[in-house]
Amino acid sequence: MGAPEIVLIVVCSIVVIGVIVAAIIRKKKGKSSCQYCSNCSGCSKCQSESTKTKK
Amino acid sequence: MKKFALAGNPNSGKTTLFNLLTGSTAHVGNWPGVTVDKKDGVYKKCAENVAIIDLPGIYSLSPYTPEEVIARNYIIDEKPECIINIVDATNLERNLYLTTQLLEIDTPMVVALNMIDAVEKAGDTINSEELEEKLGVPVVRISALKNTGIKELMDKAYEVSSKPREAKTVLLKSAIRTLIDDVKSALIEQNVSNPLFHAIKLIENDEIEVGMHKDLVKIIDDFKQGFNDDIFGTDFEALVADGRYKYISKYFAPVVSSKKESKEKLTKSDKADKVLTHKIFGIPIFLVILFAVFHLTFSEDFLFLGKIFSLPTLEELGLLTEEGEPLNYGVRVLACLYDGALFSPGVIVNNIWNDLLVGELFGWLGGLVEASNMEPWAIGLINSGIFDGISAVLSFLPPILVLFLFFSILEDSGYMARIAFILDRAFRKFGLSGRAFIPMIMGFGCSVPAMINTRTLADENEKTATIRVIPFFSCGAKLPILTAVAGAIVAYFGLGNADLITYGMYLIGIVTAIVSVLLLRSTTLKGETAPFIMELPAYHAPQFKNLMAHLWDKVKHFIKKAFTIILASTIVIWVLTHFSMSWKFLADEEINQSILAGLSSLVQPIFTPLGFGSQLGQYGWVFVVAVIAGLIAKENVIATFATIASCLITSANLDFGSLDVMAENGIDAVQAMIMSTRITIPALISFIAFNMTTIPCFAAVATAKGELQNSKRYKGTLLFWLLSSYIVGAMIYTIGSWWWTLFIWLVAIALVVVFILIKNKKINLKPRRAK
Repeated sequence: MGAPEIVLIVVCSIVVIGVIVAAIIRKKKGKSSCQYCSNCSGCSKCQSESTKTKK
Repeated sequence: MKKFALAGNPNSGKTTLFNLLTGSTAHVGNWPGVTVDKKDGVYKKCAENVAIIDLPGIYSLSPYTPEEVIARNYIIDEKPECIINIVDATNLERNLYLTTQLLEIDTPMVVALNMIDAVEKAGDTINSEELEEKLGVPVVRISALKNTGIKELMDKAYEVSSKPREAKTVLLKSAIRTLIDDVKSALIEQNVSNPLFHAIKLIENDEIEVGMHKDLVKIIDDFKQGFNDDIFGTDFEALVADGRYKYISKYFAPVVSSKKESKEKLTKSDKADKVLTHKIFGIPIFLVILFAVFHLTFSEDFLFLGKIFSLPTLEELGLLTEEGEPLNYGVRVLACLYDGALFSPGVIVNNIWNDLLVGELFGWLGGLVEASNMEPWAIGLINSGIFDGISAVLSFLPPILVLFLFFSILEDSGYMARIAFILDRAFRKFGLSGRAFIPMIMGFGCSVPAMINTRTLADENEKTATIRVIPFFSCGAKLPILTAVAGAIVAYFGLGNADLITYGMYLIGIVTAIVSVLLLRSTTLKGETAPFIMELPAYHAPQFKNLMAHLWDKVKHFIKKAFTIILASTIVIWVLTHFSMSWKFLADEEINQSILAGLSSLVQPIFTPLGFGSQLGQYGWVFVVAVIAGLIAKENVIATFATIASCLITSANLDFGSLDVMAENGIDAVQAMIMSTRITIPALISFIAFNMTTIPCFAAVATAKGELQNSKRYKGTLLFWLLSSYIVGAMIYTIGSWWWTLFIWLVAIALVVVFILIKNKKINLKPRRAK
């Protein structure tokens, strides 16, 4: 296995682990789980703020 | 940093102004309740940066709706340095009701007289100097839409923010003025801030105030003993409201001078509404407009000119080589616009994007990788796993954007608000209010904000029912599934039109949603249908800048999603399809021995009644993988097909002819799936329908959990999604494959309806007793 293959494995691992970790961190922070929707009027900070309001 | 709050009625232009001030791309909708929570940004053109808070649209500061509570709590508790009260100049009297309440708070204030351009266009005039004198606060004429008067407004707001303002009330001439003074004095003694505001709220019997100042309620009760108004008795809330309106009518209304004829003439919006919200033609017109949107986005025969005039194809014109390739680059460009028919704008953009841009880019990158000295598995991972998966999803960016553009135009113009009104009239008798249709229609964009918007529904059962059916309104993420499968059906089987199939699937989703809500409201989620009052804003041409800002936002989010979640998913899928259970690396032709094939094959039989289960043979498990991957993000369904397609082509030894083995095009990937599994058209339609109605993406599931709050309802919702998608898929596949099964389904549906009617006691089975 040469250097390009090792780099490929490392990059792919970082991508996969990074996406999973980012999702877990967002969930723990109570942030909106949808970071990918562009219709932001109801989404921006709303889930975290509503959690605070309801408490 | 100073804080300025934007407060005003719904549709007064607060969010338009907010976008102008902050440069934010917050969505501007025409429905009340689009902004459910506050948004903030920064205005940087004053002497110092100023925080701008866009409060929800409210008609008053009474605590009847969540929006009113949020706005009121912010103003009272957060104490912004200035309130910018946006008043719709075309509806001055109604908008000033809130103004009279805001004047009772000890906060500097500026009134922004918005839409002044519309007033002038109608030939009316407003004496803003006179209004300013009577209100006692600065009044600035602006047009947020035309971007005029904004600098003057903010300069004035900044100027007044440094000077304290003492609250005043328009009720000083009313019968309860002495009571107001007494309660206010008592509150001042208690060092309560904003004593005038709290005093009047207490007198109105505001439940928040009564809870906070129980000791002062006695003063009001003692006053009531000796008081009795001729009309309102001791209903002080009504008395106060009447006092405000009378004052507005007498002192503020005269600042408006209307052209006499403009009062009698119907506005252009009224004339348009006579047609578009007609009680009989309203819904058919909506369906035609929706079809037009799909035709403009997906049709490969724009306006059906190709069929009508039998236009020649490029082959007939001698512009293609023997292999069917364009003769030169000019013909290649022409092929993006025309081939026997003129393509619709959406298809033209799509062809240019895929054939001339994305296709070229990934083809070149793939060539570089192939030519490298990397090991075969690495080349396979990059080309089949990553490039094919990403490019297949990116290939759908144009239709998503074009469809989103048309929906944004419908929304920004004011038409979408009318749809909720039309549907309310049609379905109210079945237990559905128009208020519930607003979040459903939002589901065409994304399920997550649509579910959040259900907070505006007061009835919990109505809210739950609405959340359950929102995913049936296909969001932008599901569009690649629809487009790819529809395109593959047309390309492979030579049947139908892509726009008709896609339109049909959207309609199936809408019909399924309506039927489901009716069923739910008749069975487990019964409840009263709430009254539906909605302001219909005037029609206006959408702002180009707003539209482009929304599109740019959509592009950014889509690209980000493609290079994060989709990329990670395609890598994982490729790895799991190229390693066996014993972690031995597998070649493409050994794909059936992979981990993913083994696991999916166990689940595959479950989908047999839907047409994409055991009957698809040894490669049918790919559909199962696609469905499961779609739970992470719906775009993954096509990305899965694209990632596995080239393996299937090798493994199944398929003769693909002109189809690109790289299969970077989603439609080609689905065609590879069709060839390798021999899946039928009814099964393909069933597959689309299943994906449209099943459990949505994880983000939407998490949102539903957050909105429902009740564990039982949440689990019920998951079960509902699974059951409804299974039934819909099974119906489509069985009826499509064996037409006579339609009668079996009709009998089953009839039995369910009768059961519900009996349960709801609409049919009485007990024999009548003889008298």
